[in-house]
Amino acid sequence: MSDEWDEELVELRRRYRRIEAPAYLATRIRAEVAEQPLRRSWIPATAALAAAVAVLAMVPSLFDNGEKPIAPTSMTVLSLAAASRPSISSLSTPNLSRVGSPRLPPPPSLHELRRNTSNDASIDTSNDESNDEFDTSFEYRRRDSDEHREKNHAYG
Amino acid sequence: MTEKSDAELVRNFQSGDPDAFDAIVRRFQNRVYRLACVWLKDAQHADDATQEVFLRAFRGLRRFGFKAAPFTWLYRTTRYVCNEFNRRRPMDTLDTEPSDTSDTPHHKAGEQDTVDRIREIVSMLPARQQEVVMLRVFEDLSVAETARAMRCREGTVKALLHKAKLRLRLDAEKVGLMS
Repeated sequence: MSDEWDEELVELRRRYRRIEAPAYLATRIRAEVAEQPLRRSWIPATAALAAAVAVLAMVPSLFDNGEKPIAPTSMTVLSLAAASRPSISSLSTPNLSRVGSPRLPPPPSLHELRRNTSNDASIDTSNDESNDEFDTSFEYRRRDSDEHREKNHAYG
Repeated sequence: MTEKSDAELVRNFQSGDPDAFDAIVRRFQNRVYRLACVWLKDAQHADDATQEVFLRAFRGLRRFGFKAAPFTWLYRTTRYVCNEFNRRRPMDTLDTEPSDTSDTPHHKAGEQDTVDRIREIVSMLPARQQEVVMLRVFEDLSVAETARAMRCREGTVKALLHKAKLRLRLDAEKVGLMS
């Protein structure tokens, strides 16, 4: 039985391999292929490559807005910064009560009036007027210098 | 003049030789057509399926990477196209009676009988064994070529072929006992 089966299989294979495609088929395929649009394989590949390059070129400009990335600060750097930080008292602004209101210049003394009239005192007080609004130390300095001059005058 | 190998033909086609594709069609059309006759539920569409296979080859073989033999690629495409045709035209099943051949003048007298007998035999087998029998027995591919076409190991091909032959022999004996 198996011999018969094998023989049938061999015979079947021989007949199968004699089957041929119809003669017109090759012509039909050739005609169909000729109608196919001519596609150059490098065009889509080049277009895809160009698109990929364009996207890659855009990526840095999307994420880089001119800021440097924030690097994590080490604890050592932080401790050094804390040590060199100016004290709070030096950073504090003076109290409003210490600023004081603008003061009028003190009334000229009799001696000064006399000197101004006699010596044509041309002391440029324009800066004083602008500065002594807040800087009262200048006023004291001027007063001290006046007193010193009076002393010198008295001794000399 | 020595005949060019399958791979050489495909390389010539890829490099733009206008006659190379004609040569590919001439070389493979009978094998593709025979396979289509067996795989299709309606063998009358074998020429349409063969044409479709070669149209796909015209587009696909340009990118063929020679990891397998060109016929392996054509075989897989034929299988795929035939499955598509069977889904589109579910007219009859593989194991039904022979189809009417009166309107297929290109089929010679004995060819349809041969195709019908092979389909009858093959339809008794599971799908993987069908493929092994078609490639190894009828298309006479080597074990290695069959394994590449089926994307499996050579040992699997041998095992599947052994099981298929055993099953076919048993079925034949049953038929012989009953008759």
